[in-house]
Amino acid sequence: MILFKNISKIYGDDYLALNNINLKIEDGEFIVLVGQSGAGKSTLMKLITGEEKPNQGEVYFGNNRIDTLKYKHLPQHRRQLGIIFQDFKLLAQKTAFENVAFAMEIIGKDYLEIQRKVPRFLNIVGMGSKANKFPSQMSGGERQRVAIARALINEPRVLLADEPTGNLDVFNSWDIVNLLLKINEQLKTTIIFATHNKEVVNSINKRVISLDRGNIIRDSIEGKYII
Amino acid sequence: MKNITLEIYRSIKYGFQNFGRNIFLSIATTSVMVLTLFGLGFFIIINQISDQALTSLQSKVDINVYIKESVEPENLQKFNEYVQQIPEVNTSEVIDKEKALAIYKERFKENPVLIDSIQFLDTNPLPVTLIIQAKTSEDYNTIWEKIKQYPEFEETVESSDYSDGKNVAKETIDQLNKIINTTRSVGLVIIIVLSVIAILITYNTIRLTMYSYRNEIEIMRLVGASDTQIKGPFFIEGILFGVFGTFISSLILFVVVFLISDPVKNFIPGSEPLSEYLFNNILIIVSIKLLIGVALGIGSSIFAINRYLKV
Repeated sequence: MILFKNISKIYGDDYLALNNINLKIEDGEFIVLVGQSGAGKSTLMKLITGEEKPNQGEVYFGNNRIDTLKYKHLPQHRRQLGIIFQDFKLLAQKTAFENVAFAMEIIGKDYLEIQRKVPRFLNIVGMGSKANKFPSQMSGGERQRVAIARALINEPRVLLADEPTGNLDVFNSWDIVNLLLKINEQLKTTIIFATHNKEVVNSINKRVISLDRGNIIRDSIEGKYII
Repeated sequence: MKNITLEIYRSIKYGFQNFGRNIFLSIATTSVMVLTLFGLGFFIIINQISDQALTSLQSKVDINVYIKESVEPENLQKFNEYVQQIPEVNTSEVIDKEKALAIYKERFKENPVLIDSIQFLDTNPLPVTLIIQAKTSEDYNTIWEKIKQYPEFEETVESSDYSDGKNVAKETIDQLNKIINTTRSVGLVIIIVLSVIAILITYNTIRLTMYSYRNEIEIMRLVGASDTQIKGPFFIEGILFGVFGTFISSLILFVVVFLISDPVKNFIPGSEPLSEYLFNNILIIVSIKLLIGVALGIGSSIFAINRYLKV
């Protein structure tokens, strides 16, 4: 469960990114965050990863309060999350295999387990045959698949996807969305999916939270893209 | 325990991997390191050689105290003992009349007029002489002052080539002292300034290398890597810069030293040849370079990436 309690976030002196947000996300939910650029979607995600701290309010992840986490405790917290970014954020110096393996190495998994598990996950996202390619040798859709494999490899309780289809064409976008739906359905992973893609939002019938200038203006089960 | 070994192993593996996959950047960084370390090694050698040259000049300076004819051998002995117990005195040697004559003949053997003129005399005109060498050339004044305090100074000493008034030895010694002190302090300042410049350039190069890694560092933080896990490979990479830098710069240093060794020896008489000095001190020179190189590599890498460890 993720809980935002009276959260406000101000950037600089007066840019109000989030205004007194109260939001509860249950385990296993699939949440779609919609809103224009600057509505506060990314800020909401960054509060969960601990990249940003709120100016007011409390953020809980399970029973742990995370807005007060110290810098040195952030890695431990982030290992429970899988994160997918619009710009993929793969390590340029590492191959597809190594990028996924890196997430396992961080939590101290040994060589044999990595050798067994990484190819399996690369196959799931359809990148099994390109394990030895570097990010510069992949297309956008392929990079995002590798990023998803990396996000899933440690079987996180929560998957954050911040506009994962923003840099992809329609065909690849649907592939990624279907993958996220499948993960949510089969692994019961909580998914928070921020997107601009109206068509996607309207056809998947999941809980939609609409943000506008830092406020939640609508929160509806099986919602539509309305702003 | 198993985790620590695994993390060390992975740091080493990725340190080498980073170095190899960014080979051009690594070569550039190592080259700057090579220049710095070569400079340092060269400074050490030059400093040592100029020091030796000065010391050898110093050992050629002495003062001669001429003893009166009337002094009995046991009194001379007493005077010599008095001189020897002065703390600043390194050696003092009694040159008797015969020996003085022999030295005179040897020194002026090319000048028959001087040799003949001394042979015309019935007696040996040369005085018994006490040749005194100080521990450092700055001590001659003190020594001379103390000799003058000898109770029977007037009865014993005829004269000296180091006394007040016009005096060649005194002027030479003073001049030498000035040169030695200036050379040492100027040399030291130059070495410090050049070392600081070299170190700053190396630091800046490594900083640029790390700047190119800033996105990687941010990504690692975001997927949950701890600071130690992130820094480990850069730590190793820093060591590699230092080790390769030391190795290559040492090779260059050897070649350069062997090439300039002979000309330098002719230029500074009385000094140990550069190549011999390098050969005798190879271990210490390489160790100093390795120490500085590795410290510089690690320090710069870690200091530089700390700036990107924010998220």
